[in-house]
Amino acid sequence: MKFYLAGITALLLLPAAAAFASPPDSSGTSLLKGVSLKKIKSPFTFMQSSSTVKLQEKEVNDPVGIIQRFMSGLNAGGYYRAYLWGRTLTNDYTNPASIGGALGTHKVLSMGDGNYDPVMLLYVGGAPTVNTSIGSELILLNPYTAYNGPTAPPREFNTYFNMVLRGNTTTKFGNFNVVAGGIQWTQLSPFTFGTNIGYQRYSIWERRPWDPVGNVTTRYASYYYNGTINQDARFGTRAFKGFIVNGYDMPFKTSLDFFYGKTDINGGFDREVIVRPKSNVGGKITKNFKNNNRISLNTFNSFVRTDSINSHINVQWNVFTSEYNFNFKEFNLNGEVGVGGYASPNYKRSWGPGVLVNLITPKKYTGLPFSLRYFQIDKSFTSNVAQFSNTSIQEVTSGFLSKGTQQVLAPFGGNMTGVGDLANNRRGGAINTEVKVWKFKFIGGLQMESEMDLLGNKNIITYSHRINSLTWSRLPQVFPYNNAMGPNGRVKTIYRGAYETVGVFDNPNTGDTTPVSRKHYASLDFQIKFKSKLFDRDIYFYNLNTVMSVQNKFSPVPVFSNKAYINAHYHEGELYYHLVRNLIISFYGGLEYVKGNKYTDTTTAATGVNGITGKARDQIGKAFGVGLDFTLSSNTALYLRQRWFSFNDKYFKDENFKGNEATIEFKIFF
Amino acid sequence: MKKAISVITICLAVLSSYTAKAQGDNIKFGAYGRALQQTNRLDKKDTLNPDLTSQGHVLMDLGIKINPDKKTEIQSILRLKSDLGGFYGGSNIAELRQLFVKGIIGDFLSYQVGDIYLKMTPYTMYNSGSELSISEATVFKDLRNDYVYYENRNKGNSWWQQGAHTNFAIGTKSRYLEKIKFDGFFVRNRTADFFTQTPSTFHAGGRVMFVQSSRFNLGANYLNLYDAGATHLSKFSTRNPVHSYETEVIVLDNDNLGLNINGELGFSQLNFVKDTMAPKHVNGNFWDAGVTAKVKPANLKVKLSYSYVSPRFYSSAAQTKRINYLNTPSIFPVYGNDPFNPINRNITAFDIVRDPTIYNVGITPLLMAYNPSYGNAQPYGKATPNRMGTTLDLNYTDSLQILSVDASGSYLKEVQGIDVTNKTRSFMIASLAANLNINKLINFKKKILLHGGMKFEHTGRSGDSTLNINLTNQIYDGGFEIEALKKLDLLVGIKAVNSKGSENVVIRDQYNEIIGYNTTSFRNMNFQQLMLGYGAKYRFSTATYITVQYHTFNLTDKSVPARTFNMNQFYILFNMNF
Repeated sequence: MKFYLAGITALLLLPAAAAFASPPDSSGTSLLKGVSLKKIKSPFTFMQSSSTVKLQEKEVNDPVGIIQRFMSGLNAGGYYRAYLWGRTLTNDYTNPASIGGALGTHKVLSMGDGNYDPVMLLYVGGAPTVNTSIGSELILLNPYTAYNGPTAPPREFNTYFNMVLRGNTTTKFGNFNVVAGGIQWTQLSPFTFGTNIGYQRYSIWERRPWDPVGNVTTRYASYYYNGTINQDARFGTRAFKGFIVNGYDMPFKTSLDFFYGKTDINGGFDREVIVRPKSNVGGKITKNFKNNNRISLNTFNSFVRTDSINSHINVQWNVFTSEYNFNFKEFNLNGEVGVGGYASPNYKRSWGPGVLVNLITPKKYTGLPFSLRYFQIDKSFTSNVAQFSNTSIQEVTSGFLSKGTQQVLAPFGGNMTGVGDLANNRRGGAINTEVKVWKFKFIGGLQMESEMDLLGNKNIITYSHRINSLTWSRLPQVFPYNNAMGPNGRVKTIYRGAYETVGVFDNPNTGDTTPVSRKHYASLDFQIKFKSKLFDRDIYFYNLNTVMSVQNKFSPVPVFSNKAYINAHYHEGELYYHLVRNLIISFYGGLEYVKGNKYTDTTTAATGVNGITGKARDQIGKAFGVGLDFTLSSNTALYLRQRWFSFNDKYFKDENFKGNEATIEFKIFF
Repeated sequence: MKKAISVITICLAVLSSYTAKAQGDNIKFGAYGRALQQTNRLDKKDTLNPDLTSQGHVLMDLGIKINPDKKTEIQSILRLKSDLGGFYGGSNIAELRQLFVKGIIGDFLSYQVGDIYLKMTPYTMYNSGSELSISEATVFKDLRNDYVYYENRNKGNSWWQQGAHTNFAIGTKSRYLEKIKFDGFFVRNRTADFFTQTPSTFHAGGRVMFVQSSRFNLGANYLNLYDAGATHLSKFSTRNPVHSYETEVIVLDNDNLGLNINGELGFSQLNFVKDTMAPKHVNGNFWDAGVTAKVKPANLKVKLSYSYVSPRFYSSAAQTKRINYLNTPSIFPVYGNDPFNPINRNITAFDIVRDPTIYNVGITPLLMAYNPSYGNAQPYGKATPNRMGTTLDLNYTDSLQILSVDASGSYLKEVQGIDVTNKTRSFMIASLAANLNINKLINFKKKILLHGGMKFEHTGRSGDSTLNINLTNQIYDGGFEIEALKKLDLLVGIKAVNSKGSENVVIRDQYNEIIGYNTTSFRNMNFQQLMLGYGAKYRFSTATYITVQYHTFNLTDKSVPARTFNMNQFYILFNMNF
């Protein structure tokens, strides 16, 4: 109580101490003896206030929010893409036998192509200082599912793939960029971190989410003249999240790249806290010479962290390489050499070499320009983010803890690689050339390769359904990753594509899929490009033919006989005609033949048509399409596509479907 | 006709240019960005956890400031976040983080509605800082400030609230009274929950401040945290009104000396309306008075103060703790070797620095749990009930700003004995923090900074074996920074916590009444926590940097050896603020 009284007394006395205080100004006014409202004779006036100035410290509210500095504007851009598609199946494709029934529905009317692709993508970003910037992509999804009341799920607004922070600095040791976050679309080298852009022989009739708008003729002219079309940052790069440091203009004409973070294979759809983390560390030091010659030292590594629960497991793959590029008298020599290795409780640590040599010869010395390639990648030289496919160690692709299951639906095993594709446990070569005759361009490529070691894991072959690939991928009408579909469950879908798995039974001793011989692959591309005028309007014609085979003996060219386990033909023709100023009409036709021999899966009484047994695959896929590209303005275009498609296996029951689909794409860039 | 068209065209052109300019001026953007990757490792003696966890994210808080007119402002922050482990839309988040409107009515009445920061005095509304920081090293402070505090919206000693605030001032022409300032706020503390029978809770209050001049002011504060009883079936409601009166007088202020006196006096009530089981009208009070002297030529400031807080003074917004010690650490919450009898990991210095999930953001009427080893004298800040005593603060900075020192000493006692009614605890606190700018000392251009601090706290009370209180806590912070290359700092830091002795921490019921004492958990303690940090930090600008750091943490518990463990963390933080 005495403290209480003492406190009151002290506080009452405090104003008296104000007698010693100076008045508001120093004009000699009388001393303040206390505060009494009665003594205030002057009328009150409301004091002017301002919301934009910081209020005094003694105010109850601190009006300054979290972000204290605002700028006049951020950078913004993006696109709107309404993509509608409707499909009618006059003949359904069916589920695996264990499930039965039709796969998907006869008729689909849908918005979007089933992936996380935005109806509207909005990029926002800004630069708080000259050497830092921040940016993110926003996705706005409006799937036109109708308004179902306030309790219905909201239309989605979220971040898209990219959210990055950037900083750069200039020092006497060079200029350095730091990029944090992701997804960052980037690459390092073919054997470490990269993706195969191949020789860019593909159909351009079907639209892709990342295709730009603009003059409708640009796309088709570019493919004729440049051999490629405009692509966004995702083309030829891989997804990476984490921290990247790039150094350039460094001493001795060197540059530096350093990666620490995650690839999509190591990240996937995990949540924030990961108790058994996986990470990637990589880097590259490049020495640059004159004439764009350069040589670099590269590494990329994947680690699954150890823990006491799993007996301190050690799971990692490592790649160490040197990449080179030399130009001499119009010859170009480039490639990469190095070693790679893998270790896990299931695989004893092993290392193997990888070699990639590309030689490009100039026309004036060899008559035609040639691109020659030799490659050899050991079975232990493995990766899940390199330019080559992993065919040797499945858990590298599926994840160590998911061995036996295929979480990531990348093809594994005997991939029937096309010209320009690479796979490990293979040695081979390729030759490519092209010649222009009048308005025709003839482009050809041949690749032959052999497995280096007979692996005892999976004796399977995979090949893609290139014709109608987009149609295949959305047959299930679900998120387009399907591990087993079709009546025999052997078709797997990936993003905008599908591939089929074939079991090989060539072991005379066991009769099962235990491999008995190495496989040999051959692939041939032949492409014709033509451009001319019809009624003074541009007309383009593209024809692409691919023949490939896999067999148990080496062959420099594809094997057409039944000695090939699988023989696949793909033939596509496209015609684009500039009908009027802003309108292009297009036609597409495709044929796909796939035949297997007696050592592959054959029909049984249950799976064969009319119960016929012992028959191998004999598949035909057909497609015909017509389309319109209509430019509405410099940044707006409308694209219509109508496709009739069918697929049939002559001997396997229910391995067939038929139908048609139409797509409407309305796209605006801003 | 042509003329008319020309006029219209010119008008439209002028209008459109005006619109474009107006939009540019009226809408502004800001952003905060962060990319953080943390990897934590637990020692291998533990067999209950994976040894390693990893977490990381990248986020952007997009601030939008809209001024539709000169008197109105709308601010919002949209958070866009993506975990580093998520790809192609997996684990992406878009959410609203802040939204408020503020403005002025009639040129004098200022208002703000939405998210607001509120702060009054240390006895009324005050978010006291978290424990274990005395001149903390940058190697720890970066993570605590830019991640942990930012995520919890901790800013200074303000509380982040949702509601409305207004203020205005009335000026006079009298030399005796310059102005009177009025503040009022009304915020929502909690929403009703039918299933848990929790009522809606609101917080309302304000302040009237009479400003005679910059040298003298007198203020009155009032606030009340109360339940709206009708929003749940039982209709019970808790009310915690607090009112206080404060003053500050600058007695002397010339070139050589400054002298000011300040004080605050206040009262509290804790009422449980319609709850027949609850105590009636729990009253409390406090007072605090101090005198501050400044010796300006010597850059020396000394403050002597005395405070008294009665045993049943309850002031929710001043006593709520920033850390909830009942929360579980987000990483390695249990450890040991026996899955059926794991050791629950208490919150340590390591968690306080790195873990935003252990923090508390809501004001609560009940006194929260605390750890006596981290601060036993004033666990609820200056408003800790049942304390009285003297504090001496000293602040010195030399004229060249080579050395700055903050020192403080307090001797406090309980007003009333609790578990032993005729004996009171005594508390002795001494703290010292210093910064030494070595580069200025040796006339070197780049930064070389050595700083550190220590806090010593002793609690004592005689008694028999279970009632004897003798607890000694020591907290040490130290840091060294050197700018090795331009804008590139190398960082080293140390943080140590030692605690030895015994304390009986009170146990309170739902009415804040003491119902017992924890005579087991905090008896015969003897542990040391040691945290070391090493790192490098590159500063792109004052608010944007990237840092790579490695922290080790060792807890050695001599009284219960099984509780001993080691952890470490490696992290990369890219922090960007506009």
